[in-house]
Amino acid sequence: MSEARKILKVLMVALCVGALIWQCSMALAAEPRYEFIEVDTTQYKTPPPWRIGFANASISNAWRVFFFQEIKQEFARFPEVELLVTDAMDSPSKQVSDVEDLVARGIDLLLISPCTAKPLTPIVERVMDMGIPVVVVDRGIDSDKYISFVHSSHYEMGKAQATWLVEQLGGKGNVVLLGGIAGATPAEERIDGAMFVFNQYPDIKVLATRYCDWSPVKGKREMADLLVRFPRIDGVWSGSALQGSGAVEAFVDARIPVPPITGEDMNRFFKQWKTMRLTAVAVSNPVWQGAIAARICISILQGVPVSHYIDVGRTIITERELDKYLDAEAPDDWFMDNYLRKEWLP
Amino acid sequence: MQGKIEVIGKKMFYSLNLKTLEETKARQTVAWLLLLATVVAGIITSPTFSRSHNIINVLRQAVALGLVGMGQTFVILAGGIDLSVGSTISLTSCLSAGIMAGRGEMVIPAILITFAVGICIGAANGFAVSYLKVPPLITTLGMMTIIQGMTLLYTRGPVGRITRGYAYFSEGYIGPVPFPVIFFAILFALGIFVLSRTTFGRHLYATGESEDIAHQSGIKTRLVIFMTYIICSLSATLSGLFLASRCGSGDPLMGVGYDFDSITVVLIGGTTLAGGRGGLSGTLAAIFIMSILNNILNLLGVFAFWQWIVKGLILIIALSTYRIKY
Repeated sequence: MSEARKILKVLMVALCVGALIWQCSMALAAEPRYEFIEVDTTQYKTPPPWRIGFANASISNAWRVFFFQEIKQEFARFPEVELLVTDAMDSPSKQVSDVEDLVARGIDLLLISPCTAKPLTPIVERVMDMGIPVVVVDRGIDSDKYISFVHSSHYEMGKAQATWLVEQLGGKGNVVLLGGIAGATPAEERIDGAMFVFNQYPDIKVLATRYCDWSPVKGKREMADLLVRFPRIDGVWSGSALQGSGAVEAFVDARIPVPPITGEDMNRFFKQWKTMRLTAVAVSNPVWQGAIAARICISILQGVPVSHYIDVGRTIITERELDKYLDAEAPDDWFMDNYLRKEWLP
Repeated sequence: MQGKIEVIGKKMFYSLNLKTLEETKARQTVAWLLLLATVVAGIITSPTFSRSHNIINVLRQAVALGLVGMGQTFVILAGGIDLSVGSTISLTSCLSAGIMAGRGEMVIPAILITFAVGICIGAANGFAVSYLKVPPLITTLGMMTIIQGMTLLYTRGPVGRITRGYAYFSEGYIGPVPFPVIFFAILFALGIFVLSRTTFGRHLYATGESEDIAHQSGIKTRLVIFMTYIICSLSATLSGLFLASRCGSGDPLMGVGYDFDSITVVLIGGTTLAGGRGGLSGTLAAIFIMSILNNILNLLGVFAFWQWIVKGLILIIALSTYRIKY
């Protein structure tokens, strides 16, 4: 009897310990992935010339075009770099094949801008296992098995936009949120960042959050709808300039003065801002994070230690800097917070 | 009287079949010659191309399109078309990885549920086309948007995680050959056997050639057409399962482009859009043409949009040679 009890006791303890370890491992897994730790890269030091493979997701919108140009411009400064580029045309399964083809060509380093996070994870891990260093840029992957991840935090971007809006409103008023595509990581993270700020001010009332699919047309329609529903809107938080510029048009159509509004570094928004004398701010999701990523690639091949995670700083453009960034001659969809020389502009 | 019509029908059917058999062979030869040309182009232009590592890559990259292209061949041979395969791939990749969610005990249930969904899609397509007589283009176009909607309801982004064991489906090796390639080869051989050696295969060709004559010859054409959609949907499901294994998760965009690519390989392979002529052997050549083309253009660093242009050119070139001959 006592024997059985002992065994039972041991089993219970083992179970508790097991559960505890399991809980701990779960907790560890749930911790934030992004840490500013330095990665030793001496094992990847290679004498030039270097062959760098860039597996791009696509150049299907203006942001991605500028981003790609920044990467090419930066690598062009290094004559010892041979850049091999593939374009997955937004298809994750094609991007996996693209990476395999790049590896087959014998690259010294892989730079990848994933279509979506999860599906590219296994191939990136496999490339790392082959001893080829990987730099991930813009969208991340679902593991931390890479040398460096370079992006610009959308969460911080949303926070910066919201902070400016709160300051403009003196900490109180009715605001509406205009997001991008529901479920898309950049859109959701920007909204999360904004809500983090708004939640700290009890007098700021968030009337509604609408998704506008990064479209000026949709932004205008949603805003017009909100203007009918709510008699008083003191501020508009728009996650990007696309839905923001549409929202401005809705105010104009309704003959209501445009309240303080947020946006990003798109020329279309700057033009509206200037001609309509808006009270506005633009926070960029810098396209030159591509250039930073390119520099990281070079550092790794030189054996210089790099950071495991880099959050490229956002540029906050207020009324004072507006003229510096606005280009009345340039197309509407250009991203003005760039470091592209004339010959590299699209 | 009934018997007499049947005999006449059978006679017509067999005489037609003899003629189409020769045509089919000639067309498939063209496809294989094109493949040969592509391979030679690859060997000449890129030193990497003929390395064993790269060849294994090409073979593995061909599997996803190969599986769905096989199913599409069945449908087109019977005179139909299936536009819903791309979204079926997306849905099945999401479902399988989502249900699995990294749990080993859920692998079999996930595969079974995914197949059940695949069969339902095929049955719905087949029923609408063969029994309700809705044109295949419209049925499957409608089905495509329905499945897209269902996929987005299930998940708005990449979903789920596969198990280490399930990764064998895409990454495993038997000797020096990747497992998926062997799996694909066996399935393809089975497909060729069904088309050329079984009654169902003969009935399928007859139905594609002329549904009326086939029907009068006593062939259950409705059932044949119904079955082709189920086969097609199942092959798309297999593609989805394979891609989930390859990418480690599902994605609502996984199947983008596979609908038109699968039709393209069938056409380059010498099967006519009208049905009744062609076969799997040509499709196989075309699948390798597409896979090798993608590989060569990547190896040469040719810009992505050129890949679309080259694909389109090959399609037109292939079909124009068929036109000249007959």
